[in-house]
Amino acid sequence: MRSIYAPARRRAGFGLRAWAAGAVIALGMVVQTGPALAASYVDAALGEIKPADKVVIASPQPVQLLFEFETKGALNGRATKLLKDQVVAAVKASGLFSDVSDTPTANGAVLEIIINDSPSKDEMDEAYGKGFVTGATFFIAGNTIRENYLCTINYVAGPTATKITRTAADGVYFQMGLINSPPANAVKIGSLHDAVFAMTRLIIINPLNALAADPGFQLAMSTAPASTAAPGQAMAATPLALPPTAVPVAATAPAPAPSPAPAVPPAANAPSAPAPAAPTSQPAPANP
Amino acid sequence: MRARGLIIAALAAPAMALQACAMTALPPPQATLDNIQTLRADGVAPISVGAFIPGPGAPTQMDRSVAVRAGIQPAPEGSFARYLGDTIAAQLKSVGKLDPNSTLVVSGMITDTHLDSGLTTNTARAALAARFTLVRGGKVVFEKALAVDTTWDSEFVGAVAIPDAVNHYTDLFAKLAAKLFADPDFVAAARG
Repeated sequence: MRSIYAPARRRAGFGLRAWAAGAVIALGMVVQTGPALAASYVDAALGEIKPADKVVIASPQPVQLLFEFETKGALNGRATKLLKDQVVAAVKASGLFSDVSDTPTANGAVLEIIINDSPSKDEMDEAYGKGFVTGATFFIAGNTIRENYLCTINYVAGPTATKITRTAADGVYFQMGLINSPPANAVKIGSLHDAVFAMTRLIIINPLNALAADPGFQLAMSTAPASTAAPGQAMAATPLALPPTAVPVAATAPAPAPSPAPAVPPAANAPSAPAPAAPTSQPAPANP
Repeated sequence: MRARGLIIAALAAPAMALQACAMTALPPPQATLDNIQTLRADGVAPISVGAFIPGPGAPTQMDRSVAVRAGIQPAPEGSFARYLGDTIAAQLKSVGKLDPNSTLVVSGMITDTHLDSGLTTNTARAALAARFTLVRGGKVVFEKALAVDTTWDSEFVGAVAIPDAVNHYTDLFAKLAAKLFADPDFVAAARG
């Protein structure tokens, strides 16, 4: 038996609807007695980037990284702090930048990543209702809550460069109750915070790769002065992987028992190619 | 095993409710791309951040901590007024415009602060106002009161509503800094 959240993670509130349901039943977020009582999944729509699709930059440049996790559009400082290391590691592991820092770089390039969790009033009410039903039936009736996340990545190559933007959406499922079935097209993850960590990496690497394919990004990298940081330095960063407890789940399969099965991301029933990240702006013109 | 878990969970419920009283420290403020681009476009000279203090009344009463229902959020570094100064410093630092030795000094006094989690109204609200002063070589070159506020759908459950309110309240500090940097009179006074 173990807590599904460490205290600091519980207070971070990066799973607002799950937290709402858990608060109503005052149970699900506190104790995890087995996978039937509480289980978490990551939507498999955003998978890993296939090597053939991965953008490679010949001469990576340094970048200043800004990251915010927002809840209902407002900065959630605790969640930001909790996820910051994962975000930095994901950006470094992309190999698109020679160095990633939180201070200004000589070239003036800035990469801003914002992950927003903004459930509507109706979605929150639905979460409360589901939590109430599961709690009122002493965890017999199961429920699944989907937490939706939107990631926006903005990049400017320099002080006067045009902003390039890409977005991606992803979701985390949190289940409570004995009578339940796994969500379709999702990867089972050990705990809610592990699921959010895994989602965080996937929701960043996909639009980041799409951003790197933008002609404006490519031009900025090809015309920028030589970086002072050693090329390839970012590649030394340890890439994040789904936690060892991650298990691919078939859409119709029953919830599997806990297993130390190795990570097999993405799910077997996931699309063969990652879902394309949506551009929200026209490709940037040549950066001055 | 599951029955044991349920019993423990039932016992944990009151403890969970009490946990809302103790809120962990807020992380230090950070820059945003919008503010970076605004400051770059402004062309302001390097600035030093001076004293930020709470004004009389609510700003002083709420300077060390804010209370939301049963939750109490301590101010970072013990003062929300100082947090405003630190927020401005973080934004300036992100564009290399923070210079502790500069003779151009920005300071401020919080003149109004408000946080209501909307328990009875369904709409929560937070507000923040400050009077900013910019001094160049000992001479006041800018002085103005600026204010920001926000509203959002309130939640009945405190475990959700309390951190939600704190997030929206602390987010106002960056918004107020952004309003200062976008103020044309400030920009004109702060240019090198």
